Amino acid sequence: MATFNKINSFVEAVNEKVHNMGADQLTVFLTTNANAPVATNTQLSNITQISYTNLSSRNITTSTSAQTSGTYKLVLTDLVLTASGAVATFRMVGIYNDTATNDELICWYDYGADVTLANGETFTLDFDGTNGLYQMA
Amino acid sequence: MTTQRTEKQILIDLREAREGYAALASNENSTQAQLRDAAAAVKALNAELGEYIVRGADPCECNATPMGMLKTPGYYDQAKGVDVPAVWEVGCVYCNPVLVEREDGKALIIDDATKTVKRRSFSARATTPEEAVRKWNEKLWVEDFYFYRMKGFTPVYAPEAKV
Repeated sequence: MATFNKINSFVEAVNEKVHNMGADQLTVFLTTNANAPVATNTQLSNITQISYTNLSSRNITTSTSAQTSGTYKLVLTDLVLTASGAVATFRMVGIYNDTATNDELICWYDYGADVTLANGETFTLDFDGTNGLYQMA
Repeated sequence: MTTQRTEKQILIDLREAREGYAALASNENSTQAQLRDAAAAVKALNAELGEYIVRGADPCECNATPMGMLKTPGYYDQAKGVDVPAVWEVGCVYCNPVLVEREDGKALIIDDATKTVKRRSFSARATTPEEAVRKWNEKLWVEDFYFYRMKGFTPVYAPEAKV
């Protein structure tokens, strides 16, 4: 079970014009357990990432970013990471805003165990379809 | 007479619009108006794609028009040597998932009793938009075990549950 963790500064950044979740490019970062993000991290430079050699694009597609009756929902398309050779071991999967000035962090998931990808293997980030990645009300 | 565009055409335009927005966002000389217009173009194409996918879909029981999305893009699974088809989803963004009792569910403790349940989302999935719409119209909902994704609900597993 991948557990969701919020970056504390995200809730402020999203209200202070740092993010445009409807159009900005959200991207995945990966870390080991030893270099796990903490809620007080704010931007990508705070994170020690793994090497992305042999890994496919980490860009996420936003399906919709909209509110109705005062409840906002962000819906993302799943991301399939494919290895074209051995990929460094990771456990934490985070999301940051690659368009924002400082690559501000949004959240991360702890997959609970190390993940290894050999040549040709895939790893699917299964976001929650129409229920959304997160909601704000 | 206007001809409706295919999802492929819309996806191509969407990719171009995203790239255009990203280029503007990374250019310090871009104006707020340019960024706003480029972002609006991306949102409009996302909406067009969603409307394309849900053609023929009945309104939700809450009367909302369902949303259509590409849930998982298709890809080649090199390890298995097969093409994995894309998964399309038609669902209601307003109706929250609910628990339903199922024989093949997981044992949770709910109201001091053990119940075998699944999480039902008001959404339907298939490998084509048309099939996803058909399943939506027939109320063939997605049911899974992502209990922890339910807003305001913390699952308590019964001892017999295999988590």
